[in-house]
Amino acid sequence: MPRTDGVRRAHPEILPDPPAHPAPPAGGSLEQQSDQELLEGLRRGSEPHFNELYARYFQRIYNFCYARLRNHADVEEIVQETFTVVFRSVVSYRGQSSLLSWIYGIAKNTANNHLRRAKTQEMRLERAEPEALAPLPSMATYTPEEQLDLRRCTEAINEKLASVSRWQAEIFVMRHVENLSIREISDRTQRTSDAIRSSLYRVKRLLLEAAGPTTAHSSA
Amino acid sequence: MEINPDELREFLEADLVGVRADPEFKESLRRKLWTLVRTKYGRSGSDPDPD
Repeated sequence: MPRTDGVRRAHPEILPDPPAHPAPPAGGSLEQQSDQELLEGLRRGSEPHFNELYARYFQRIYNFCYARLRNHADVEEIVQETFTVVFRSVVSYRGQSSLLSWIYGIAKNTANNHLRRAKTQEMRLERAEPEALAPLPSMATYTPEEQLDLRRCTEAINEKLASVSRWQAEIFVMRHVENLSIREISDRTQRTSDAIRSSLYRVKRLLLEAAGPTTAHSSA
Repeated sequence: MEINPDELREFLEADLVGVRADPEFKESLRRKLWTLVRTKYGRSGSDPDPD
């Protein structure tokens, strides 16, 4: 007989640690429950019901956003915003339309707002880009070889910047050229600090890959 | 929020896109959202605030 059975019999108050994702309730698979049943479970504070609802719609929302935006970083931002609105507002969802339509509507509006913001940011980036890539005054003190290296580095960086999304490139400029704080960037772009930090990290990695073999000096 | 049939078709056709999300992002988002839901609804819908 397993040791654990003996322990449980002797100390019935000792229960095993709950699993990270609690098992669905007895009496039927959650996958077979309707959206309405899952919502009722969620409103009762049931994590399995929440998990099933999330899993049921996550990939569909992700696919929809990706079909529009074609960029994983942007899609993650939109998906996060969409589901945050969904689960904040789920108490007010009264079933007038199907849950699919309701969630889709939120995703569509969130994606459209993002695309509208991106258009405005595109203009700002075009204004900022020349300043971001202009040689620094101190280049006059560099040797011709060093200046050539720096120009090559700048071209490589520029190429990489062109490959990221507009809003990612703009945030990078705001941070590293305009020296704005994360909070200031968040206020300007209406994006979360997490999204901004994540984006900066990704762009920095790309640029370091671009700059690595062409720099004459390593910079801190 | 009203959805017209064309838009809904766009949404359903996106299911064919078949792109995979980063599993870490998916799980991280799930945890954040569950924290939000738990805060909003408590352990059960009928639980009053502790105080």
